[in-house]
Amino acid sequence: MQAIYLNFRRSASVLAGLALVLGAVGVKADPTATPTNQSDAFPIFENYLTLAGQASSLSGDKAAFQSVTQQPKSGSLGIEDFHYGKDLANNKSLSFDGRAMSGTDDYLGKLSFAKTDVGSFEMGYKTFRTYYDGVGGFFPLSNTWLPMSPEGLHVDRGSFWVEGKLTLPNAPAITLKYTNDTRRGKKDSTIWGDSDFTGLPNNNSPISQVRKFIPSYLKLDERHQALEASMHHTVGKTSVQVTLLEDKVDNLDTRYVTRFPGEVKLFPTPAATVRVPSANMNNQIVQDQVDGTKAKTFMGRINTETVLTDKVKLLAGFSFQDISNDFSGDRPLFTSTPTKVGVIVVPTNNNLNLLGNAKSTIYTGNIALDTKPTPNSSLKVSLRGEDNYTKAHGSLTSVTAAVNTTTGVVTVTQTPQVEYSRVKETSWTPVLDLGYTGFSNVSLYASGSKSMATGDEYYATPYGTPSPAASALAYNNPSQDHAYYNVGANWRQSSYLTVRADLFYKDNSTRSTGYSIDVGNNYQLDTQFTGVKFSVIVKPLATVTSTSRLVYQKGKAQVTGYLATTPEYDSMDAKNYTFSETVDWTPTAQLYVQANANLVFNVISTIYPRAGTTPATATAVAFSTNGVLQNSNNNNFTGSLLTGAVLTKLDDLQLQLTYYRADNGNSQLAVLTMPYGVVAKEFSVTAGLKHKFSNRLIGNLKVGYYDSQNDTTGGRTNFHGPQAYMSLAYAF
Amino acid sequence: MTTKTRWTKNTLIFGGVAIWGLLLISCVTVNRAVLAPPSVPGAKFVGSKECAQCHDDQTSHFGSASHAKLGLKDDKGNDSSCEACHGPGSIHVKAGGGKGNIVNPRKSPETCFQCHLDKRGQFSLPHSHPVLEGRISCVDCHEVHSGNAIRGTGADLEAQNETCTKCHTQQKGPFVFEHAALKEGCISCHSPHGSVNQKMLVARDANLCLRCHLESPSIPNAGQINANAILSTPENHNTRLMQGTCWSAGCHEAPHGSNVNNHFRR
Repeated sequence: MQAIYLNFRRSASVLAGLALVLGAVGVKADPTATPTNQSDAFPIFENYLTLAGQASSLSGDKAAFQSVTQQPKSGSLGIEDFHYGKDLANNKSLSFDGRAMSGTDDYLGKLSFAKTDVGSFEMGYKTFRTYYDGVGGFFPLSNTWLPMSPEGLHVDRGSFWVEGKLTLPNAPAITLKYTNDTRRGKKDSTIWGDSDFTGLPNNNSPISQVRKFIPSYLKLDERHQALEASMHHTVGKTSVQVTLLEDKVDNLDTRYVTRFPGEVKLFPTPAATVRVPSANMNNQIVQDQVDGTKAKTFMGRINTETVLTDKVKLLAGFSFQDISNDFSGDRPLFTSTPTKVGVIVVPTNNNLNLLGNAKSTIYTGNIALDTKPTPNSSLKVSLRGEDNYTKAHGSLTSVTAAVNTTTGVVTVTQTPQVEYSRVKETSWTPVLDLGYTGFSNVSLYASGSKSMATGDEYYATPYGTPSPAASALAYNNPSQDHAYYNVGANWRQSSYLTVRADLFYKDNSTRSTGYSIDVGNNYQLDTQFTGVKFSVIVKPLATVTSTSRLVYQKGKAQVTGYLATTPEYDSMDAKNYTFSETVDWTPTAQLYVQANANLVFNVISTIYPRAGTTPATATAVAFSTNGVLQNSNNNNFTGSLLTGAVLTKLDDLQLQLTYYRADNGNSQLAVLTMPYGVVAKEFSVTAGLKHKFSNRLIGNLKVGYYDSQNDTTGGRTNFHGPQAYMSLAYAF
Repeated sequence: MTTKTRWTKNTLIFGGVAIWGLLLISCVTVNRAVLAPPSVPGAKFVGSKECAQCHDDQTSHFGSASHAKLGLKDDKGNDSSCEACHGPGSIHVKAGGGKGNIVNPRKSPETCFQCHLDKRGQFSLPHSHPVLEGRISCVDCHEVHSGNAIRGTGADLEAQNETCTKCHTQQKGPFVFEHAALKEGCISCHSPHGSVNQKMLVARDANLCLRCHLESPSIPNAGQINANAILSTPENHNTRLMQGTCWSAGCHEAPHGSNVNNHFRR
């Protein structure tokens, strides 16, 4: 009885609370509110300086916080936004924009100058930081999680640019722009290393005890410069755009991977049937893969548009690209190897002093007739053609090592190797676009395109003899067809209802047909995707708008392998349903509510559940191959609620909630594979108050709470805690 | 291990009382408007012709834009006009231009989310381009004022992957051995708006690769997963797949293309 009473009281209390919340909203829900007085509204500043700061008090994994929220754990402080603009004499204007936030390393400086009918000049520099966490994977059977130290990573992206435009009347408009973009820092990689710390036995062939969940990271040092000049001019009924581009890439990226960290085999090696500790199942290998790229691109492009009649336009374009990539690389490996005299670190190298060049020459042209046969219809017929020739060659040294396990002496052998490849490809793409607006309040459109590419390819994989062995050579004729068709409509039934639909179908086929010594070495892939995007916008009341959207896509693929006897095989069955909803409700001029929800069902299926059972052999046990790989589920839900209200003459209130959930995990898979399914839940709530101190000073205060739970990492990257943000905007 | 978020009756009662009280105060003290973003308080629609007076470079080619397909014969500023995305322009026009008095979708993606609601959800996922954080904008990748919104489609001169490789230069190549999947497009493997998976992958496990590289079961290995479709290496990959993805350490680490191995192994 007591329990029933308590339940009743709890239910009554909850209902009372809900009634208060809804009542609070309801008290303002008067669509016939009196006209608003805009003079009390927050002013729009022309020239202003906004100072801001943000801080948080977190419990849990701070690197995960940074990665999820893209905010630094230590907070940030500085100039969030600065703008100064001034109209000068003689139709000139000058403006300066800036930002300088320490903590997030978010900086901007931009200077703009313009003179009417003459041109403009702009230069600036900006940089911002993006955060990553090097946590790798979590192995549930042994509860093992081996994150990097330190766990937090970041990359700084910078961009400097200077641009001048000359826009004299009745003269060609000329633009010259230089950009220098950089990416520097460290980010995580999904190329995870191996570990035997899984709790699985090492003598249960063919069930591997190894799982790859050791984090790795990339160190980026990338620079990208581009100098672009363009000219646009209209002569008579023809307008011409000419663009010249010189582009340089200079990257030196290194991937740091450790395989089997902390492990080294026993010496002498025990029999395969002996169960050994995890720390003795394999040998640690430290590898640093260095990839250098110095690429230069020269591109020239011309586009023309000629008005032939008031119903017909002719469009034509041509571009030439020359891309030359001087690549370099190095991939040293240091393997901890047990010997009679102790553990020896043996240096080898998959490729040492890799040097080479890959060069592409690409000619592309297009032509189109854009017509309006009737006032309500449009028809555009286009054709694109491209010729691509890529030739590459390289040299490297393969380094192997032999260890005398008695003396520990290492004998290194270096083998110089060379390689080459050449690919020719020609493609044609006809395109048809149709439009019709003859029905009242309806627009209809359709388009279809089919890209058809054929080519010739041969290559030699790295070889050390004077001429490559047949096994190092490949000859084939690749071909690709990509067809895309869609039809769509926009129907504005009334001011209350709008319906939009877009149906599409994609049909792709890829062929690689071997010839010469590769006769019969074929590969075929066919894919088909069908889908629809369907939107409904309903405005049942002047104060309410509901927008619903369904995106559905279904894909199938069939692959046929190299063996002449292997039939076509269904290799993919993918489905995606995305249901989205936004409701905007403005019950009065002093209150708005916006609710968003996004529900996704996404599954990609390949072999599962058809893989069957792998039969036992004399040396291996039978097992369910279905357990090695199950469907890739990427289901998730995201939602948000935003509401703002006029609180007083000088104050606005804003409340925001966000929610994310994914539940795609199955730790039971760990017995036979590495479970990757994402299981996470995040929630945040923020309350903000905007206050007008004066017509020149506006303050903004937000306090919030963030809670993130991630079972994909066994809860090791959970975090929660309050956050606060404050800003002051001053107009001058 | 995990902390449960609890919504108690007290939360609702005190929250309700607080909101109720605050709105009651506002009801009797103020009479001005607040609008959901993106919006320009007090502005009215003026029509696209007004915009063309100053922004002819943006409006003159809009007829070729993907969004123009939605345009109705008698469009009154609702579906494909300038103000459908930039908000009502009367204050902007009256001021002779300026910032702050017109919606700038480059500053906030809210304009795009009005129709592309699903993209709001994708950008809210833990692995996404930092659009919600304001670091990049929709128009950094999409052309909205002319031509195809998804660049490089149809009969465009440029290639679709150029949208990605202008920032991700290391994946541009050319390589000695290029992965043919790049010809299908970066979006074959990546969901550029966001994904639950790291690196915005459409699948985090070996299904990503097996979609195209699922060998049919040959007689000796009947019923087994075998990912050797391209070249005739009869190696059984069951053990490898138990350990991790196809692109894990020691395996096919160069999925975009390799300068040393035609199997993209390093």
